[in-house]
Amino acid sequence: MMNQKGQPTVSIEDLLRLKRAERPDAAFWTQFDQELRAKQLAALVEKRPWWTALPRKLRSLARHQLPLGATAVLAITLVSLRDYQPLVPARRQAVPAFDTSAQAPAPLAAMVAPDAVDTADTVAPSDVPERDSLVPLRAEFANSSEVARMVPTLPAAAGNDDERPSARSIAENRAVAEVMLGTANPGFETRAMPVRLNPREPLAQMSNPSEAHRSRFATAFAAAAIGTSPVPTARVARRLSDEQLYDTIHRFGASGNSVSFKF
Amino acid sequence: MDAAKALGKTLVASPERRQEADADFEIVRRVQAGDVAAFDSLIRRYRERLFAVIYNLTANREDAADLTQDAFIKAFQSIHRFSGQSTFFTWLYRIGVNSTISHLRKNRLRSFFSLETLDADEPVARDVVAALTDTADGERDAFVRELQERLNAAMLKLSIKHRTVVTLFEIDGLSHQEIAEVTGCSVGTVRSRLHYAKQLLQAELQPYLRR
Repeated sequence: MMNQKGQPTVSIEDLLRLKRAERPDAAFWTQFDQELRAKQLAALVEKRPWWTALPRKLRSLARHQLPLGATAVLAITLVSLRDYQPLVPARRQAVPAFDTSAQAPAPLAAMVAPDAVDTADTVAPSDVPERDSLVPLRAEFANSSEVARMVPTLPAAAGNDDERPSARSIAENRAVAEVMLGTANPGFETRAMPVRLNPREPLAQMSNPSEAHRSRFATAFAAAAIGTSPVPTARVARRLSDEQLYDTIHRFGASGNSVSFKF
Repeated sequence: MDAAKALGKTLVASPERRQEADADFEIVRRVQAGDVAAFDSLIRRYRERLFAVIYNLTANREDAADLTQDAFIKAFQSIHRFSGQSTFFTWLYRIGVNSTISHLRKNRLRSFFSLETLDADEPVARDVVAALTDTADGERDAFVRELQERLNAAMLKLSIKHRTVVTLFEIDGLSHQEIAEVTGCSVGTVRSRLHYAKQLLQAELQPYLRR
């Protein structure tokens, strides 16, 4: 290209085309090929991390996304229904009924601590009487050697201790543990339901409050009548009716915003 | 008429390049089918062009060699993902350019420049050097060396994006459309970057321009 004066022109494009002429020599390409071959072989031998193939595998699964998603949702639903158990409102009261910390060694106290109780294996206190209820054992503990090691260390109940509720519950738990360990089956289902011994109706255990009041009143009456009247306290107690017993209570009344006293 | 042809060539790929792309696609199919040795023909075909692009981006011979090799390795490892939606060389360039941009960003503070020797038999280079010098051969070599360094310095003053566009268009001869595919931006952005980069280069290389 020439300008108007007949001199050659050089534009910025011409200068940049000079860069095209910058080329390495043949020896450079020989070395380049050798290095590239070595890198290629190293890349073939090198084990690539598993996540590099993950997108490709996910892409291959993308065509089955609908049935796979439906199956996953169904499985999650089934598992949720299978493991669903309504919460027991007063489950923490089920365990403190046993006063094992006084007699049992530390491992047993830790075992029956409220935090260790599995909700699925817990029996509600309203269903089972307190003295007949069992310490809920977790299935993991029942099948493990830890329980087998801990249970024999329980102090043997002897003498008057047999009559204490804590001693009875320890003995019952020990029997349950022995039963569960003896029949432990390492199959699919490892959980075991706690065994109830001598189930009793809750109402059958409740004593009539009027009976207690009557006996208390009779005792007080006997103490006051010592030396004045030989009437046996049993007869006095029989003669007292419920109306008379609760008469003092009926003298006080409260209804709405008013409180009444009867003299 | 020639100007219109040249303008069309800058906008879209030439028919020769389309034929090349078809041939490349056949080779890629063979590699995907298990013929690993067929990849060597792709390396031989594109190693010099890819090296030239990366060399003009990095201004370093050793870095350019390493990055070119890495680009071929990555292309070989990912060849099964190539579906033919773009041409192979566009895909390969994209790998190389992206690797180079990452490398330049990581080593922003490191700068070791090395210059290749200018091929004096290249017609364009010969004409440009002849137009700029009217001195003896010994002084001409020194002048060419100085011009190379000034060109290199001017290129390195450009940002990576502008340098990429200038390199792909002016040095490698890709069309605007192909540059847009390689860089992942629109054709308008490519033209804008090219215009801005040329203005900066003109300001830097003013003493060497003859009008």
